[in-house]
Amino acid sequence: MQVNQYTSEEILVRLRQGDRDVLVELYKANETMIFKYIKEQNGRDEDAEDLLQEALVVLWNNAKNPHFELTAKPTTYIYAVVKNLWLKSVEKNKRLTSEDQIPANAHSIQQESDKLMDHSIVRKMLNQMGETCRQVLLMFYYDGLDMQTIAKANNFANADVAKAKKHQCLKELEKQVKLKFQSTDFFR
Amino acid sequence: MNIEDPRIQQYIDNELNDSERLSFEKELESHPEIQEYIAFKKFIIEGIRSEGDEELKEYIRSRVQDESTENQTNLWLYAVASVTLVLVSYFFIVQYFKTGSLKEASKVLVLNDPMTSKPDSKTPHKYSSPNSQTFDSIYYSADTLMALNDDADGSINPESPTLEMSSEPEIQENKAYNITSEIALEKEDLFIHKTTLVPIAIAMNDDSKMMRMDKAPSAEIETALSGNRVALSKKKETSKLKAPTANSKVVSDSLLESDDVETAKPRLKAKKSLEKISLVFVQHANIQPSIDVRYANDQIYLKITNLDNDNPLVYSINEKLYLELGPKSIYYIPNNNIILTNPKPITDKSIIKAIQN
Repeated sequence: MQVNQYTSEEILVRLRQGDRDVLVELYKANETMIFKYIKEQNGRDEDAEDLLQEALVVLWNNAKNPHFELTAKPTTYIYAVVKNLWLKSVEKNKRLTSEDQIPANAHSIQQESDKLMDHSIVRKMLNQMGETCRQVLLMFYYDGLDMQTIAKANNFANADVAKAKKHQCLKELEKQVKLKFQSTDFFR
Repeated sequence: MNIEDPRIQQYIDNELNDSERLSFEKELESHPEIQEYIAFKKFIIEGIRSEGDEELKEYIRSRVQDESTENQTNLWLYAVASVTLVLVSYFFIVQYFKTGSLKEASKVLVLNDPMTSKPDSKTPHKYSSPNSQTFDSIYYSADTLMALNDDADGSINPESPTLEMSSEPEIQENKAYNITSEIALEKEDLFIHKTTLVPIAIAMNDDSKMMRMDKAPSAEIETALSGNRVALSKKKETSKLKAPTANSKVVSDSLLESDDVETAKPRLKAKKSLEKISLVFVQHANIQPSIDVRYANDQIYLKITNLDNDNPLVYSINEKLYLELGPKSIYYIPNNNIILTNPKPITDKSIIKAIQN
């Protein structure tokens, strides 16, 4: 059965069940349309690929929210998200181009508010931890799973052991990030 | 409140109820260092979520790529299959218009196996026995068999009542027949294959230790025997043997069937001349397997009907004849004229062992 034959509710159910393959199906179903749109906006295929993936991740994260409702068709939703992301990207590029004209010693409120937190530091440290810690932290903070499920997935004795493990792993991650970088490094 | 306060993590993980959260936030107002610490922890958690996002994107990317590669491979396979189908159809159609026959045209689709296809009966051809790779078959009608004179190699008993009768001699009279291959004609289901063998004589001594008597053991074996007898008896390899021919078999190098090599008796010299045996193999539908034994003209004639034969050999053991048609098909040949219908292979293990060794 093609993903276009699922209703919005059915797709949402599959997303909330953690079915990642539905994202792959949505990608293939919307690929042509998105690539066409981005090309019309003078974008590259790589941009279209990144934005479509980004839109699907947005859908995935929103689906975790129990109050989220997919009222439109998935195609419409994805198209809207991609459009927004593209416009943001264009805006950002315009700003960067115009900022080349600003003298180095000038300071703008706009510039300050657009300082981005560099999460790549945290990701690097997370990937250097053991696989168990990595999985526990991702399961809790990304997948939103409860401790019982995390305990079962990682062969812990019970939920309390999983909770203790998560606390220990998070502490270790915080310590590693602090050791490697100063606080000013978190902002660019 | 300090940074070890467990409520900090509970607050970040949304594990405080509404009243607890409000109370905590109020308390937090007076602790800017804790606020900074909470901001740092939230940053860490956002970093974890960012890693989750990247992992998910990578999953989508790799899955789409894998399926795309698979689709391309399938596309190639479909293209190759389509081209093959078109070519086969083309040749089929061409052959059909050429020959006007669907049967002929369908030969394009089937490999022509010379072993299964029946040759044109009008054309003489060399026909190989389906059971044996070493003999060629010769077809004889009854009249031809009766008229045949195998001077050098023995002749078929003209009075044998068991030969197939046919009113039409098919073999050209000026053909010379001998124990080697000849041009044959195949007629219907009747298939005759003729050969002549010299029996291999094996003497069994009192201790049931067999020794092979043979006309001409190879020089290598002779040398090996005179040298290291112990090593030879232990060896299982049979190197430097001649390939078996229609009328002889070279003895293997494990001449002595015994662990006690030193006590084995020396080999007996073979008799200079042994009786020759003429064999005719017949295959015909609706006839029971049989071995027809005839003694005539100082010769022994065996007509073997509907029995599989794989490199047939005859052995003479203690003046008794045994016909070996295969590894588990050794038949005793009586010393009188007799037809053995549905013959059963022998079960005497000592004889079987002597022959197989």
